Amino acid sequence: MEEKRRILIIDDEEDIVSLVEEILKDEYSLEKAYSPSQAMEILLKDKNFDLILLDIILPEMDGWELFKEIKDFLRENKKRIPVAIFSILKEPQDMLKAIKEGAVAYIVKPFEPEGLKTRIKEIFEKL
Amino acid sequence: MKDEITGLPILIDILPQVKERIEKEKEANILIIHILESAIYEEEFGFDVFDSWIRSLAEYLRNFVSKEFSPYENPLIFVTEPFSSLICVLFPKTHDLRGLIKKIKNDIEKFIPAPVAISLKSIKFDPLKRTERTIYEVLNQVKIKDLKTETRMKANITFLFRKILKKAEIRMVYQPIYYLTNINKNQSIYGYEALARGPKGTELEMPSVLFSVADELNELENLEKLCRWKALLTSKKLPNDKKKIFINVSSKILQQENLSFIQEMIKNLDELNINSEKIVIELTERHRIDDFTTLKKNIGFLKDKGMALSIDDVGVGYSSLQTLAELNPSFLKYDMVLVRNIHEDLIKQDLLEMILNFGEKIKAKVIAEGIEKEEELETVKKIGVELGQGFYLSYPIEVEF
Repeated sequence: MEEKRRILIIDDEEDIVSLVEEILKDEYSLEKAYSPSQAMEILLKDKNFDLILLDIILPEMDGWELFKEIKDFLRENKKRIPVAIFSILKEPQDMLKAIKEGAVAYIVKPFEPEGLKTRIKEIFEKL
Repeated sequence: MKDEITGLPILIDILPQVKERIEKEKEANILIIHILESAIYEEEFGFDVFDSWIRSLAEYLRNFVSKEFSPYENPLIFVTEPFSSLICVLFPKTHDLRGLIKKIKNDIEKFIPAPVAISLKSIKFDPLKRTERTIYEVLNQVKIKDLKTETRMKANITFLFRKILKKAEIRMVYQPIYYLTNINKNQSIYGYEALARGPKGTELEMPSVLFSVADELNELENLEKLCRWKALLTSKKLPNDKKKIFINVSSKILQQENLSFIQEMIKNLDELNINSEKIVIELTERHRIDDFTTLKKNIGFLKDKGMALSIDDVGVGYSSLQTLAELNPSFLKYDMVLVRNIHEDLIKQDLLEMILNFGEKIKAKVIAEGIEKEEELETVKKIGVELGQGFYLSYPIEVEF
């Protein structure tokens, strides 16, 4: 059997994380981080992810800042992992920022379970 | 660390290498290629198109270097800063590139519409100076020279602009807006956007440059007035004059307390015997709106006279969707930057879908701007956009007058 694709989800809302896990666990292998520091800790040890799902409203630091940190970190380690933004913000300005920063998708919360599945599938198809 | 756009190394990170080469070889040549007027061109074409020029330039130089130099000459390509529009190639002083500058310039002009400055300098080792500073001195000299070039270009442009305004040398072209569901070149035109062009072959041919120069010279109002008059006048020559005419008006003019713009518009329509219901005022959203109350009031006057409102550059503007809704537009124009390669970009697709839902809610039609490829057309159609414009559908048409 083919190995499952690995996704790192970074979101401080535990309910959302478990919901995402519930929806995606059959098809993907999920790693969870509830804070920026935890996310960086995981990435330090393990960079073998196929996708990062990043909430942009986080404790400790702004999600965009974390995005930049992750990008720099990956670049230094010569690694490419696509990042999809995960957010409740749905103004054009936020989405435009995601395009500029090089995100591959912008998933607006709340989401329909099927919608999330399709979107993740689409992301991998586009890569 | 590498520059995000080009993937090239950044000077600060390879400074020790550059220094070592100059100290060892005692002198090195440096080719510096700089895209000028980046602010204007990035605004006109959008950041991702501008990024693609820099990327193509880097690619061109990589190819050039691999053909022109032998590996042992070890040419170094780098950018001076991240996101810079300036790329350098450092190579041995024994290699003479002077005869090739013209060819390089010609090649680059094929894929970068913005002006490009090419400089060839030598960096000499001086035992009494810190080499790092020598390197930066040379680069700064080039930057100052390029800045002067830009200033000189501006002076010429100012002169040209005054002449255009005085002699009313504006051409109006009309970009057809199509129904996308049934594209049949003649039957499915919904309306036309009137676009101003400066005289052919001049630096002011592109409307973005024309209008930004006008704004800088405090002549925006006069230029717009001239354009509106010409737009209405020549629109009578369009093949089908029953269609809607979209006329651009800057938000600056619509935020003026006095009503001269509105009076002038009504007078023009009257004189030319044009039905005001054909007119759609297109308001750009690209500049921040400071006096929303006055803007809304003025738009109200125009609507009372039967004109409709279209909001341009939706998706890349400053206003929140809620603010846009308050203006009660009949049309939302989805910006061309966001249509560019939309088939490859999920976020651009999501954003369009969101604007489309928003349009439905406020009963405004969405127009996709700048459709240049079949795939872009297919994608915007699939998402449900009803109206569109762009070179893939039709180039702007000129009407003789």
